[in-house]
Amino acid sequence: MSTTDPNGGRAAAIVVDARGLEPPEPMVRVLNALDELSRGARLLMLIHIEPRPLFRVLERNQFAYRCELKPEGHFEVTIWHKSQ
Amino acid sequence: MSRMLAYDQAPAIAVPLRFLLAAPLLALPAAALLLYYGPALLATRWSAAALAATHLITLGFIAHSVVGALLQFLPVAAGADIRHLHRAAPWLQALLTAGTLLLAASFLLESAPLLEAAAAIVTLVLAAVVILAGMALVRCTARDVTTRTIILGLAGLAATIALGCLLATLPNWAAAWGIVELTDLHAAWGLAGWVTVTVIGVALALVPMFQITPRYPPAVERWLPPLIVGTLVVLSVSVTTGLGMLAGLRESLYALLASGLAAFGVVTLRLHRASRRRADVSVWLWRGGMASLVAVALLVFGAIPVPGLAQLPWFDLLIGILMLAGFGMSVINGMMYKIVPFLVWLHLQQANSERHPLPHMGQIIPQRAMRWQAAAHGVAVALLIAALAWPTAVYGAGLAWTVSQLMLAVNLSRAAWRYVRLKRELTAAA
Repeated sequence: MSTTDPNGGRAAAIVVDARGLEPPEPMVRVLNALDELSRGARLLMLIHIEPRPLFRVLERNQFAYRCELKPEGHFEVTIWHKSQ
Repeated sequence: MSRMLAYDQAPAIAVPLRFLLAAPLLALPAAALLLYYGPALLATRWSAAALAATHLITLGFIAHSVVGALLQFLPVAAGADIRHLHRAAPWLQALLTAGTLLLAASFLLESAPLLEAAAAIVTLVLAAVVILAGMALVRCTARDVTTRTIILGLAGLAATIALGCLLATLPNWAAAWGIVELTDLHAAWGLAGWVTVTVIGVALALVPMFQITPRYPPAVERWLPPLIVGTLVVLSVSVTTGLGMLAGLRESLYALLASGLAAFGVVTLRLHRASRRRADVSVWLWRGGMASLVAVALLVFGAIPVPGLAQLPWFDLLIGILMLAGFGMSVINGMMYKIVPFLVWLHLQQANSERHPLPHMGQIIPQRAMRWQAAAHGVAVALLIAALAWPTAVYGAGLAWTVSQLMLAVNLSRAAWRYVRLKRELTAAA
C-alpha cells in the first residue's frame, strides 16, 4: 500500500486539508494541487477516511505515496513524483 | 485533473446506470398490486400478490440496485477486474428484468411452468454475478474489510438463490424439510445474509466517505458480517437436520441474527449523531433504514416471552415490510442520491480536458426534488405498516409508493439526461 518516501522528514510544499469534505471535493483539491507539484517536492493530504480510489489514480499517473493512520483518527497521505 | 481521473477499470457510466434506473421502474408494478388487490395483498404473506410484490422489490428494486452499484464499486473501490461483467451488463440487466417480471407473473397466475422458467433465468443471471464478481474479488490484492464483507454478501446471495431455486423447481424435495421452514430460511438468507451484509460492506466504505461520519468500530467491521453469516449457516444446519427439533434453538438463532441487525442499526445511528455535518436527505433515508432494523430486532425479541405472537398473520408481514421497504429500499434510495450524482460528475470531469465550468455534484439532482421523494417514500412505508391494523390504508400506501417511485425514476433520469446534455456540449466544444 505504501512506497518508501525519499523525502521523508522534509516539510511538504503543499498541504491539502480534506478532513470533513464530501466527495468529490477531496479528489478535486488533491488532483488540482498535484498539477502544481514540482519534481522533488511533496504534497501532504489530511483526510478523515483512507482514500483508496485516489491511490490507484496516483499509481497510474507515476506518483508515489505513503499513507498513515494518525492517533487523532485521520489519515495523512504524503505524495511525490516517482521520477525525481 | 481530468486526465488523471481516467480510471482504466471503471465501467462506462451506462453500465451501473442501466441497473439503477431500472430499479424504481420495477418497484412500480408492486405499487399497482397494492392498489389492485388492496387489503387482500396484506392478509397473509403467502398470498400470490404478496409473493409477487415481495419479489418485485427484492429482485426488481434491490437486486438491480445492488448489481448496478457493485459493477461500479468493485473496480473503483476494491480494484477488482470485472471487465467481463461490464461487457455482459446489457444482457444481465435485460435477463434480470425479464426474470423478475416473469417470476411476479408466475405467482399471480399460479403457473408452475412459468415459475420454473423464471427461477431458471434469475438463477442464471445472479449465479453469473456471484461467480464472476466473487472470483475477481478473491483474486484482487486489496483484501480489506469491505472486500471481505462483500464476498460474504455474495455467499449470502448464492444461498438465497439456491434455496429459492429449490423451492420453485423441486417443491416435493423441499417439502421433506418443510416448505414453511425452507421459505423462512430463503427469506433469512436473502434479507440478512445477502441484503444486510452487502449493505454493511458498502456502508463501511461509503457512510464515512459520503455522510462524513467517523469510521465504524473495528469490532463491527471485523466480526459483525461473519457473525450474521455464521448464524445463518448454523440455522440452515438446524433446519435441514434433526437439530431443529431442539426446543428454543431456532428462536435463539433468529434472536442472535436480530441482535446482529440491531447492532448495525444502532452503531450507524450513533455514527450519524457523531457527524458534525447537517443531515441531508441521504442521511435521513439511512436513519429511517436503521430505525427499521432496530424495530425488527425489538419485534423478534418481543416474540420470545409472548407465546403465539410470532404466529399472528401480521407478525411476518410487519417484519417483511420493515426489512424490505423500511430498511432495504430506504438505504439504497439514500445511497443512489450520492452515487448517481458522483458518477455524473466523475464522467463529465473525464471528458472535460478544457476545464469548462461544470455543475457541482450537489446540483446534479435538485435537493428539493430529493426531499419530496424521500418524504413520499416515508409516507408509503408508514401507511403500509398502518395497513396491517387498518386495511384500507393499503390504498394510500399504494398511491404514496407510486408517487415515490415515479419521483425517484424522474430524479435519476434527470441526472442521466443532464449527463447526456453536458457531455454533448463538452464534445462539441472540444
